[in-house]
Amino acid sequence: MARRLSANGAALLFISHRLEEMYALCQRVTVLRDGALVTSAPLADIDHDTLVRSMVGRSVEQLFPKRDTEPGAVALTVDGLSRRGVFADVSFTVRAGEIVGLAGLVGSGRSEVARAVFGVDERDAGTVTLGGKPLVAGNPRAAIAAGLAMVPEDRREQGLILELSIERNATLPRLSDVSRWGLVRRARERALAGRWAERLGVKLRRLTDPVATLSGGNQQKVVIGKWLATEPTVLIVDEPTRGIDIGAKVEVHALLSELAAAGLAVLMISSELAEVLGMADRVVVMHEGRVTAELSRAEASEEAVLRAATGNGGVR
Amino acid sequence: MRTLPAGREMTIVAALAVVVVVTGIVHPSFVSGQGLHDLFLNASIIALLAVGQTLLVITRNIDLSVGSVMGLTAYLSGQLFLADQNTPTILVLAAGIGLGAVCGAINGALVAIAKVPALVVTLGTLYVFRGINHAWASSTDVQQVNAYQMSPDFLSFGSGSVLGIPNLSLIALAVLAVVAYSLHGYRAGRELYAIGSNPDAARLAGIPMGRRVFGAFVISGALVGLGGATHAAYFGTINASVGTGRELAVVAAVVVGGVAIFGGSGTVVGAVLGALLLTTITSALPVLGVPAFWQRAVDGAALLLAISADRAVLVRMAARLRARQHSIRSGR
Repeated sequence: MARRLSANGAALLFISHRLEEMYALCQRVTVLRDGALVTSAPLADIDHDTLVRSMVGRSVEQLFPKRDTEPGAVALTVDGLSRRGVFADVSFTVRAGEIVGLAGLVGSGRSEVARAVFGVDERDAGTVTLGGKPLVAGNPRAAIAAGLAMVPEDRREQGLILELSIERNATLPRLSDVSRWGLVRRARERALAGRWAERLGVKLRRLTDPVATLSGGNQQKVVIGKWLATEPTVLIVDEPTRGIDIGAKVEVHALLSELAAAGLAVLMISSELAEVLGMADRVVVMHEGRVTAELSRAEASEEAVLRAATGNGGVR
Repeated sequence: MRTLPAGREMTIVAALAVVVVVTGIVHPSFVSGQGLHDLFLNASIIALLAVGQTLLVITRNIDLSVGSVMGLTAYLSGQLFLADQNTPTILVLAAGIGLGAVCGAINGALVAIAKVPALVVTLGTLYVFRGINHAWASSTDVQQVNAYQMSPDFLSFGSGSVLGIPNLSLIALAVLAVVAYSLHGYRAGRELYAIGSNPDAARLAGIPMGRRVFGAFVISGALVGLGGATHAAYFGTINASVGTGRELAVVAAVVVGGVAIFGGSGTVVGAVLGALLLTTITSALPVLGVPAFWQRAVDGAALLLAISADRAVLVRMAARLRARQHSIRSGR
């Protein structure tokens, strides 16, 4: 439709952060950052990397600011996990300080595995071991208590309670820690929420504003913050950067990298191949509910991951 | 948490003022000391029920059995006096609260543990509890308990007042204050809103949903039990059909008070104001010369009006949110 309009002689201002669309549709581009004009040029004169750099204020290599880390002890062991009709015999480990990417096509069962590990969904067979102790099935409370945290796939449907304020959302999984005899201590609650909002650089006016008033990237930071506030040893992030702009993406990546370097075990589910390859120390690939490959950072190429994800014979 | 905020409480207060002033002009005794005294007294019992119902509606549940539970606990009060006319008042109230809590626990267990929708469970127990009440009445052959069979202490508690404020209204206000504070100050209260607002996110955040919903049913049941016992004290006449049809009035009061029927928002203060407004309208109708049988119709009309108003606000909010989301998606 945009093409038809411009063919009919209309001038079109196309606002997007989807760069592919821009290159396909537009002739000129104007980049704004933090409310100020950065650049304005014909798109033919500006390549993809330069455009990203001007949007983010950093170079493209820094899109995935992964630090090298020395993996520590095994933090999470998933062994023979099965759920009838959804996934079968899924096994993998995540070490402290390691980011393990869980890749696969949509529908391959990645998110479902994560939900079963966390206990939101039941499992039919298999064990989940956290820090050497087995985790009971189907009980998110036990999972949280054992040091597991999960940033879910859909922040609006599963991650946040949109009507509630930023601070109430941020402290929800930790209410028992900011309460005494069931009475919530406001000062503690505010301090906890404020600490994490500041640490993650959430752009907000007031902590008491409804979380729905934040942009997607800042909402995602609140979700991540509320889970980091539980001081987990293992963090599961499901599509951590879906639907957020490129600046927030870089911040989330830097945060994950920093957390892993500090010894957190991270299981990252992502449909974005570049994100998996750029961030993960190891990649576990799933196809139709089964693990089809486990690749080291060196082995994990776009081709190898895609081959395993489509079931065309992986490494294993 | 307050998606239909302060506006709602103020609207009800304004509506209340209009009804009182108009009726007062037509019939000045309506706004006399005695008139207002009666008004508060009439609203007190329904207010207790509305507070309990609010806890449930916030979590996307509902209790349709409140009328029957109220009847059963009122009938228990009568039976206690038949057994011993000098039964202490406090004991009668405690028994009402206890039996109400048991009924609430039955509803709560079926909803939270057996996972049957609350609408179905409480529609069932509405008839079951009423049936038990009638069976009890016919097996003991006690169809009615009258004031002369109750203790004078109990009756004077029901009709008495402190500094001009009826005892029953004081109880309702105390309950309102405690519950209103708890809903915002206590962890469990916060979690009730989270459960109603977004059950998926609440479960993911490790909130013990079953336990909270069960607890809400027990507390609501206990308040209904208190309502039943105070009903006995106030009216002094008890039979097996006390409270029949009260569920409609309670749900109407709660919804008129701005508690969203789909959960997650609303306050007990709003619900109690809703109860006060409906009671006032009901009391004003005969004064204004409107036949009494229109009262039910007024409850229903108020319910429809409130739901339509909520719906309109919601549609507008959704549109605003969509516009916002759109502007976010296409770059900040």
